[in-house]
Amino acid sequence: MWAYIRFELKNTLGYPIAMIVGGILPLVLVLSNYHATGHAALDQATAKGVFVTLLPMVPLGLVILPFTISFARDMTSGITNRLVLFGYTLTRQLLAKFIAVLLLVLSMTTLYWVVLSQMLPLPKLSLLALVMIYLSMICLAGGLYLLAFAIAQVFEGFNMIQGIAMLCYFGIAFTTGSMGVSQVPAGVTQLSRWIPFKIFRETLRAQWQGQQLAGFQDELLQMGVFILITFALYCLAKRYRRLKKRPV
Amino acid sequence: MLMLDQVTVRYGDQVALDLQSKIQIADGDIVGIIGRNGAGKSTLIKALTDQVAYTGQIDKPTDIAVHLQENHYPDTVTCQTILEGLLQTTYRRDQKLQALVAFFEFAPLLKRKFQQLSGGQQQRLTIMMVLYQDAALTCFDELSTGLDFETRQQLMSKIKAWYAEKPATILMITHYFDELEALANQLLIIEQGKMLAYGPTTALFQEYVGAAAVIVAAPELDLVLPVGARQIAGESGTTAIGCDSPTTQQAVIALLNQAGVAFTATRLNLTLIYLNVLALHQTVKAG
Repeated sequence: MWAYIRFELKNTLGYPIAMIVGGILPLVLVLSNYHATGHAALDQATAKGVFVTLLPMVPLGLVILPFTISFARDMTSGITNRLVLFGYTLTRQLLAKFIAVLLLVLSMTTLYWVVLSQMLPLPKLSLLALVMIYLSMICLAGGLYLLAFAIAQVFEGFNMIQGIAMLCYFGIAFTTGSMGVSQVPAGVTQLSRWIPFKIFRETLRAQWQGQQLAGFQDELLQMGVFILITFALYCLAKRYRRLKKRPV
Repeated sequence: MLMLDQVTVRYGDQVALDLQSKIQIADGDIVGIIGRNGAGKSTLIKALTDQVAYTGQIDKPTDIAVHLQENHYPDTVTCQTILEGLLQTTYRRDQKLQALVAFFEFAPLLKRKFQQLSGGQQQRLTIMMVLYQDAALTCFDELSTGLDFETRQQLMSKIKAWYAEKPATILMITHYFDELEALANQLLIIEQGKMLAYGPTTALFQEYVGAAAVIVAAPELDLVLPVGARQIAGESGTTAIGCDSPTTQQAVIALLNQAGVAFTATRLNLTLIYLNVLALHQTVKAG
């Protein structure tokens, strides 16, 4: 299986859009949004603010856009089916793709943390907070991955899926406050609350040097709910696809 | 062994395949599957590989390797990555893969991406992966379609050489009958989803053509044929003569030589089998 995961890793790395949107863009946005005032406490708070605000953009950028588009392309051109005939069931393909994209998310998270720790006046993270960052990234990557798969299964055609993926990417980014605060209808705001970006930011900001797991309890709970919801969407999308494709 | 019993595949109201009989394919058989476009040949492979739902029964080996009409791979990785990833191996350490790559003269192409390969090179990549699997059953679906004559010949001679010493069961769909003449020992003819004929190529030739045949390169022949010889269905622009024995064939040849007519003598010709099976089927259908 490792050889196949390596294949999927190289395949994912082959999409420059993934590295730009998920790797470089969050870093650029952090650095362009941080302005030093000369006041140490204020600068530290600002640095923490931009750090936590844009960190969820890493899994969002690495999963939603490149994965959805590459998976749609694979489905349209018959690559998915070709791999099934080589013995890689859809579940195995998805698992390998997820491990590949997760490795990228964790690598980019590390890069984000290391680079910004050097460039911004960030206070030292507690070990627990650091572990929780990685755990949250895994949860977000998992949930967004399931959502991306659901999009690729429900919609037909490469251009349509690409359009929906972009809509989701920018929609999530704007409604969760990752790209500024936007005036959106109340219903959209309610919907976006199920995407646990806000609680992740608030918890990390409050528990930056936290030593108690209890401080992360609510966030973990909401991450769990997010995964459950996206898993339900994944199952529905898979069932929808099966019913639609099933020969009579 | 592969067994297909009353296998039917429907797409909505359309019956794509309705074999209506039992087909048994023994281990080591190389079966050529022929028929018009849309006859149900590829659907048969799809049913075998669970790509479509079917009714009826299929007893098949657990490991099946398939070469599809069109095989695509990601354009983001090199051919070596595709080979290593999908075959779960490492090229440097895998002598079997190295031998296959050398056999198909693919080493200079390993660092290229799939889209950078020509049609024949793309086919070779999939064929290498299919052969590597050493599956109990291998299916080739129009592997040489779209390739130029020379590439097609090279590919077929490679496959023939590869299987020369191997006891493999192969299903091969093609519109190029000469490819089957070189490889297949069994023939399955499908028309409009139905099986018209199945059996050893030599037996089908005997049944539908005769013990031997002569093909004259003229649409009409103004000669009285000897006893035991009859005009049968042949390719457009030719006249085909079926003979009940090699002696009759010799008599026909002598007659044609006397008349100074160009001809080809044959004792196995899949085109003649196919055309005469179709002709018989149409006669029966017409009542």
